[in-house]
Amino acid sequence: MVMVNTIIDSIKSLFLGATDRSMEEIKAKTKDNFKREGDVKLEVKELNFYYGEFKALKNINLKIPTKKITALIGPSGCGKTTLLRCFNRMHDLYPGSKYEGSIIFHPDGINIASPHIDLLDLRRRVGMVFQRPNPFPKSIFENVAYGLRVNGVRDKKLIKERVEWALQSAALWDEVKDRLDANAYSLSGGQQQRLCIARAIAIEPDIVLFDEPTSALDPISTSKIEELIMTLKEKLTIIIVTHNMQQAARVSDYTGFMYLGELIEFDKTQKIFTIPSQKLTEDYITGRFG
Amino acid sequence: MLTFITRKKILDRFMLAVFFTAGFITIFITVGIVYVLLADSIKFFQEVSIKEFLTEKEWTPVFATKKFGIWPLISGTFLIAAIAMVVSIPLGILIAIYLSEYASVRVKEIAKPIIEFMEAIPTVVYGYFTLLFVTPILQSIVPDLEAFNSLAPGIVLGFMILPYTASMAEDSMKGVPQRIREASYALGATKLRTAVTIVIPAAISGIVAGFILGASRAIGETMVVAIAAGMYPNLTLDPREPIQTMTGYIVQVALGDLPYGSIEYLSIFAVGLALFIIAFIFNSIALWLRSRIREAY
Amino acid sequence: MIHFFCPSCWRGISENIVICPYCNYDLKDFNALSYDDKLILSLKHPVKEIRRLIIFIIGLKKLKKALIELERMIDYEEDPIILMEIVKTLRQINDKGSRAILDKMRSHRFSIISQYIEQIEYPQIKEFYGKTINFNNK
Repeated sequence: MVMVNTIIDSIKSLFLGATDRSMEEIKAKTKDNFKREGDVKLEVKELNFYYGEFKALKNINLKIPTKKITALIGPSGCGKTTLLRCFNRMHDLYPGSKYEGSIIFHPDGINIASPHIDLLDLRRRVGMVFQRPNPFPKSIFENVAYGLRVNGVRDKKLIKERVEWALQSAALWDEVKDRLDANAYSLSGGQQQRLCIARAIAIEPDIVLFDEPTSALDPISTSKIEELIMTLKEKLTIIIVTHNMQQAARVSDYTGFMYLGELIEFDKTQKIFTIPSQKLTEDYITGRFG
Repeated sequence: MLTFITRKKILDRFMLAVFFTAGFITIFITVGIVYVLLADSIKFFQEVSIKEFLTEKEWTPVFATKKFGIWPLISGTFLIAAIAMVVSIPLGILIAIYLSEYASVRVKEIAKPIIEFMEAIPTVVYGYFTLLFVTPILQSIVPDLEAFNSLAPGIVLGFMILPYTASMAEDSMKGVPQRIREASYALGATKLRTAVTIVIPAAISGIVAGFILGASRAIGETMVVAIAAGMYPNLTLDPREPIQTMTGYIVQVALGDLPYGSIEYLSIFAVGLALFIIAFIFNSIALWLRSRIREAY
Repeated sequence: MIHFFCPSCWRGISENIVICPYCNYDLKDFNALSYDDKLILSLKHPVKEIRRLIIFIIGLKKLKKALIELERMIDYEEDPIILMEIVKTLRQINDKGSRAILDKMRSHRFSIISQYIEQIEYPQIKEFYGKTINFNNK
């Protein structure tokens, strides 16, 4: 019986082509995901993004829930980092980037993709942690204090308090409290990355974007960072791009699978990994391509 | 008959010899210069004590009472170099910030060749430009500015070494990894703040190295100062007065008709040796600083 | 750059190939497979991160169908991390079949695995031996 079905299916797929995803179907699936799931923080609507002539993101529709961890997975070049960098408009540092559609930042309702938005204010509210630890060549203290100073905090006592709070929140305080004046590059790679997290959360952003934050770290540092990210979701909305599906499965509440600039599937993480609705997602999870 | 392989081997050996010789010649010339400087300086110091050379406050080799104190020449040299740096450091940093952080690719394509063209202008042109154009203008602004002074050549030298210092500062600022800049922008910092508080401190050793090399060039520069600064060894810090630099003195004596082997003739080797030592120290500091760029981040 | 692999021999092939040139596997068969069968097929994936993820998902799904392949894996799998993941998955499935495999694994050729099972199955023994080995490898 199985054999017969297999044959029929393969004949069908010969006629219909190997891919069986239609954009309408995907849209319908992702559309009202969060009706019962509390607040939406970011609402991406029909977002297209271009690097010059190249269309890197194609009609992305997505709702990022508040104070949850959302993971974006997909093979390299699928646009997951490109999408992440739209949320704090990092692309604007380089010429030739163009946005179409909208990214609504709730509850204010401002459109992040709009050309008129105040980028400095946006980036204050949407922090970012990068692929490789990138502390400033300054002291540990100054690294964390930098964001505060940039945003006009002058009160030395307040800066000290905030730095301590951020380092504690990043589970780094106990390791560095006796050497806050030491150069940040004297820390290990994992500590540097936690310092970068402390630096990002010191100014209390609403959202923190993580761009493959553990890809340059060893397994022990990786698990520390993962634990840290999970504790941070009490305070913040977190979006994490990761190459490591295990990480997405372990850490995140929601997962989006991207492929060739499109969002193929977006759902609760458990569901994405146990009963994906798209064949492409199945094939990616099971390692058929990567 | 030679096989192909052996022929290749011989060619290989031959080319190795050519490259080795080419490399060796530069070392040989350097060693030769040091030898000549040392040999003639030793002859000079047999007649003039090192103590007099380093403690006497006057340099009067052509007077009846000859005095050989190097300090007037050193002060003149460093005064001009200092004025050059006062002009060159702020301008160089501004140009470097603009080129590395702000300028678009197109602006850079136009601006960099123009800046580099400044290097191609013969220094003698700068010299006459200083004497006949810059000094008269400065005389209308600065009271009591003499026709030969250290201010005008200092300023012109500052511009002359600008391509050097600015491009080295720009190179080391470009060397700061983009991801460190992105970290700053991601915290809501402006371009200016990122440039001043992140990029410049990160690139500081390269920037300083560039300025030290620039200063070393200003100290070694000859034509501008020989033409526009005067020929009067003068222990002064007043930029309006005529002075003489070490290079200026060497030119003056070398072009004159002093007899071979005379004490005045030998003195240029002692001055040259002092100049060589100063330049060597400056370049060593600059090299050491440049090697430190790689250590950070 | 996206690379495609044959789901049978896991060698790199191009995206549109229908029959694997290395092992003659017919990709049409693969496309007809259910997700569960694809998961089981991927237990042989050469990338250990993928294998680990697959075992993790099998645990989430309590996929009893995979027990046969998991039982085979405990003999040939060389990576202790993967084997530990198998232990966790077997405990999650927690039926007669998985219990039997767990029992079998208590005398695994890797002593670290048998110790690991002892510790998580009988935590009081862990107390007894003292906390010499930290298995808290999340």
